[in-house]
Amino acid sequence: MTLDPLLLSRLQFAFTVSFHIIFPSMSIGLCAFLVLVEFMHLRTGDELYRRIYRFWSILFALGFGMGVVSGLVMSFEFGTNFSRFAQAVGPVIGPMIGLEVMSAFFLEAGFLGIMLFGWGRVGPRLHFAATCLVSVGTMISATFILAANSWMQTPAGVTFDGRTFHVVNWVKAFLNPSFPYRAAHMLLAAWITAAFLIAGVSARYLLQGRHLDTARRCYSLALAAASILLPLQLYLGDVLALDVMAPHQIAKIEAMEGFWETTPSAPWNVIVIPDQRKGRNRFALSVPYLGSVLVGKNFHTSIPGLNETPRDRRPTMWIVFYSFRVMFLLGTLMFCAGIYSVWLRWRHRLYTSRRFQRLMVWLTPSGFICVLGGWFTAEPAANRSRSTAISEPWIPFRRSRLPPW
Amino acid sequence: MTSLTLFLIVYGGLLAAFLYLIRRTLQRGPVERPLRTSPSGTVRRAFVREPEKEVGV
Repeated sequence: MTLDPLLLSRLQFAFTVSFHIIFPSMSIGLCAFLVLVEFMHLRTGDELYRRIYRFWSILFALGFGMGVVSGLVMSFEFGTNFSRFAQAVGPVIGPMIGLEVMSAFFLEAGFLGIMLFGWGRVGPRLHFAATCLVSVGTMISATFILAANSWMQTPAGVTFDGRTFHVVNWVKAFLNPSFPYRAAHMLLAAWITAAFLIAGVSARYLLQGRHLDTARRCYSLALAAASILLPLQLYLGDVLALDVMAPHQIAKIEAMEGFWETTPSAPWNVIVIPDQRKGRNRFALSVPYLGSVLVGKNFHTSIPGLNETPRDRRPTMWIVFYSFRVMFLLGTLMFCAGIYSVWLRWRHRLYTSRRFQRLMVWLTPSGFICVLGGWFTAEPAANRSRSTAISEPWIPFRRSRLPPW
Repeated sequence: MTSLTLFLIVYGGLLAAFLYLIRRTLQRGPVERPLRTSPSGTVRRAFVREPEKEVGV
C-alpha cells in the first residue's frame, strides 16, 4: 500500500464524511423528538414537556451547528479531490446536493431561530409549526443526499457521452433502485440514534437521582420509540442488503459474510482473518448453518464467495466484514434492549431496574457506532479498483472507465 | 505534514469544543431557566412590551 494522492484523497473524504455523519444523525432524530414533545405540550399543557423541549433543543442546536460546519467541507472536496468525477457527474448529483443545501440553509436555518429563541415571543402554534418545518427540513436534506449517494450506488435515468453523464429522466435518477430503501434505512437509523442518546442520558440522571421527573418522561418516550423502530430497522436492513443491493453489488454480500468460496449450508462467520492476496481466510470462527439461515431463511442456501468477483473489483474484506459485524451485532443488542424495555414496562419496573439503566448508559453512543458501521459497509464495498480504497463515489466510473481524478 | 497538522487541529478543536459544550449542558441538566431574559436585556426590550406604568396620578 502506497500513500499516493488517490488513496490520501479517499482517506480524507472518508474521515470528513465519517466525522460529519455523526451530527446529522443526532440532529435529524432529536428534531423529530422535539416535534413529538412539543405536540404533547400543546395537547396536554403539561409544563414538563416544555422543560424537556428546552433542554434537548440546546443539544439539538449544538449538533445542528456542527453538522453544518462539518458538512460544508465535503462539497469542496468533490472539487479538490475528485475533480474529474465532479465534472462527469455534476449534471446529476449537482442539483441534488444543491437542493440539499437550499433546504438546509433556507428551511432549517430560517426556522431554527424561531425554534430556539421563540418561546414566549411567538404563539405556541407558530412555534410548533417552526419546529415541524425544521424537522421536515432535516429530513428533506437527508433525502436529497441519500438520493445522490444512492445514484452513485445504483445509477439510473442517465446517458453517458464519454465525458459527462446527462439526465434523461429525473424521476428515474432520483428514485433510483436503492434510494427508497437506503433513505428509509438512514432516517430510521437517525431516529434510533437519538432515541438511544436520550434514553442513555435519562438513564444516567435516573441512576444519579437527578432531574427525576424529566428523566423518567424522556426515558419512557425514547425506549418506546426504540422498541417500535428497531424491528422495522432490522427488517429494512435485511431487505436492503439481500433484495436490493445484492443484485447490483454481489461483492458486498460476499465480503459482508466473509466467504471466499461459494458455500452451501453456510456457517455464520463471527471472526475471520482474511488473506486478501491469496483469496482465503487464515482463520474463521463460525456458527454452523446460521449464515444460510440468516441470508436464505433456510439451512441449505449457498452464500457466494468473494473469489467469484474479479480481483480488481473486490472490496477489502476485513473493512466490510467487521463494519457489518459491528453494525449487526450492536443493532441486535439494541433490538434486545428495546424488547426487554417492553417487558420491564409491562412489569412496572422500567424506572427501577438499575441494571437495565446501566446498560442503557453504555448503549448511549450505540446508534452513532451503528451508523458509522453501516456507512463503512456500504461505501468501500460499492466497487473498487484498488483494494484499500474507501469512500469514494465510483460506480458510474466503472461504466465510463474514466479515472476518478 | 503541515496540512495534516492543520487538519487535525481544526477537527480536533471542533470536536473538543462540541464535547465541552455537550458536557456542560448535560451537567447542568434540564433546569428551568426564566423566559424572555438575556444578559443584556436587549432581546427583552425588542420583543416584550411591558405594561405601561401610570405616572403622576
